[in-house]
Amino acid sequence: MKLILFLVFILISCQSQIDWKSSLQKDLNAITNLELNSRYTNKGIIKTPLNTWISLLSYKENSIKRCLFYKTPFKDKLGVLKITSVRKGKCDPFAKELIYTKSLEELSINYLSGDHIENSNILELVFLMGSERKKLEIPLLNYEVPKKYKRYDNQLNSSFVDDVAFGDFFVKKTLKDGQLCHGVNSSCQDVVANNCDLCENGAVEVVDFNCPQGGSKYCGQNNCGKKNEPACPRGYKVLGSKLASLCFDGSPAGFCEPGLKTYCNKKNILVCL
Amino acid sequence: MKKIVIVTGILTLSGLVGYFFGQKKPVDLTLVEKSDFLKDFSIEVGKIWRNADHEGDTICKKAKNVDESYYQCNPSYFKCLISNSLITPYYQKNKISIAQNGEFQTRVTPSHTEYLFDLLVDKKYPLKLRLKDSCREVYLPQRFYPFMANQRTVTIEWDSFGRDIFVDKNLVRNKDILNWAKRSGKEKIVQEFEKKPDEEIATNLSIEDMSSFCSSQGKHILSARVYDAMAIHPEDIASPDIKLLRAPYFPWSRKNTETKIFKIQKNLEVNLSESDRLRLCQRVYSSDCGELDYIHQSIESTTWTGAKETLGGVFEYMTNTIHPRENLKLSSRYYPWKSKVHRLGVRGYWDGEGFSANNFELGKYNLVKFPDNIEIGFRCMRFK
Repeated sequence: MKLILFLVFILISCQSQIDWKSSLQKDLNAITNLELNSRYTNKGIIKTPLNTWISLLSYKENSIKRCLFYKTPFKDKLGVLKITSVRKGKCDPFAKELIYTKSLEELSINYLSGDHIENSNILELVFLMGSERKKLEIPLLNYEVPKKYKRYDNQLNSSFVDDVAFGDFFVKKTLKDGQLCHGVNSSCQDVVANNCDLCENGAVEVVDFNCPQGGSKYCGQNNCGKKNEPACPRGYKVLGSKLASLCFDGSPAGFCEPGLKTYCNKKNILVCL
Repeated sequence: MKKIVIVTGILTLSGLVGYFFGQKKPVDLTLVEKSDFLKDFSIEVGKIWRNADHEGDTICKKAKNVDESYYQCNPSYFKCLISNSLITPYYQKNKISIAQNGEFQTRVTPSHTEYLFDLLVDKKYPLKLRLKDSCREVYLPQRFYPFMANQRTVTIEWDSFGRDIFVDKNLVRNKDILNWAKRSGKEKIVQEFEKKPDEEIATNLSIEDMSSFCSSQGKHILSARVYDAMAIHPEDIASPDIKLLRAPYFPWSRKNTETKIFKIQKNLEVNLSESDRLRLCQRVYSSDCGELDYIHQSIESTTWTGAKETLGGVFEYMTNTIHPRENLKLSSRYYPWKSKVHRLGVRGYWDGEGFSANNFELGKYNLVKFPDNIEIGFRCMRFK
């Protein structure tokens, strides 16, 4: 009889172990709008603060925000992994929850990126369970990150497989003509991160500051070089200029149609007049 | 017998306990919910979608005179593969069937075009698969570039450092225009393009329509400056920071003298075999190609960036701010190979008002007899 009970216990234990990992993979692999907590991602084993709920990542699912939390081990209490849900605002460790496991320790969370499919855009959880160190890999199938482009690359962002995703069409907000989609200031900082992919009718770059990431960009059709329109950027290295701003009357940093000259307008954009 | 009862009892008991404990979390995931299935499936499907070289797929390759690349990221071709049960992924060494429910849907976003396939996996599990067009655009590497003006007598220097510019690999096709016209409610264009073969180059749209088409995809009409950049072979590809802007005449070689067409243009003796002629017609489709069909999107025409169809074929319209009267690539099937019009950076002018001789300025490349059905194509580019 003892043997039977022991076998039943083993069967249940095995089943539940497989279950939480599969469930976590299922819940995370096709998510969109993922935000990883940079404080803990790729930073090694999460040890402190002790006995505290730590938000590892968040994502949105049908207008509900979900957050993956890890409670660090303390004394004989092992680490807990759970997902909580909130409608609005910050991640809340005490909101409606779904606990995956209460029996792990020495957890580290890593985001793997690289040039090759199969080892890129993977979320990796490494942990100790009992005396065994285990690894759970979750391919982030719908998660996109900007790419550093090179020759022969296509225009898509990087994801697990760049041109394959799952689920319904994902509706993104678009930007109207005239809206700033990439703002650069005189210190060459991005004051508006590049989101020109959202421009309804494409984006055009203007000549303003002398920055390695190029000038600011606005949504709209490309009429550069025409009268009263921004000058067409000639490039930043070709001039060899060390001036902080390339916007001044007669600047060679922009091209205009024949008969027009470059002028710097009040918004510090080089235009053709 | 006793043993059987005990074993059955254990299994039943463990099943029941598992069931009740499992109420909080479902124990079994369906096939398509399994991470390892989706992972393998997305890799395999991605390869088929992007490469279009699936075994046994000849049944789905029906278009005439097209390069194999025509089928890459082609939703009709992908649909045909599914319909003919040619996509059968493996899961844990078992073949899995894939079937499609209804038609695929298309969505054009400002950053890319994607297609939604409503699938039934293994005859049981619904799965919505989205395939994005990754085959249409090529990246313009960040480096110094020459821009040719005044029939190549002037070189203007510029650079693309800090800028992500993408160019359409091929000229725009009839099917692209038809789909756009349907979406935009342009009935007249729909009627005109419904009669045309999908794979052929879309020609003779107004500049306004070309611009609207490119805009609808978050792009602009290709500029002459970017055309030169994507077509003219750099002196040293590996050194983007070096301003060596010698501009060879042809996209596929850095040395003009090594090309057969240069020798033809120089009236040098050329031994042009039939295979040489076929190859040259795929690179520069000229009036010498006569009875040979134009091969659409031929790999032979590929430039250093991966763009195609840059010389020969139809005229190509492009915007040119700095030299507005050089907005038309003249290299086309209207001239023989011996004409120096078949060189990169040689351009004429089209006023955009019509398609008769008086709408064009061809300069020293005037045509003796102006064709009745002159054709002008175009392509788009993107600043990301």
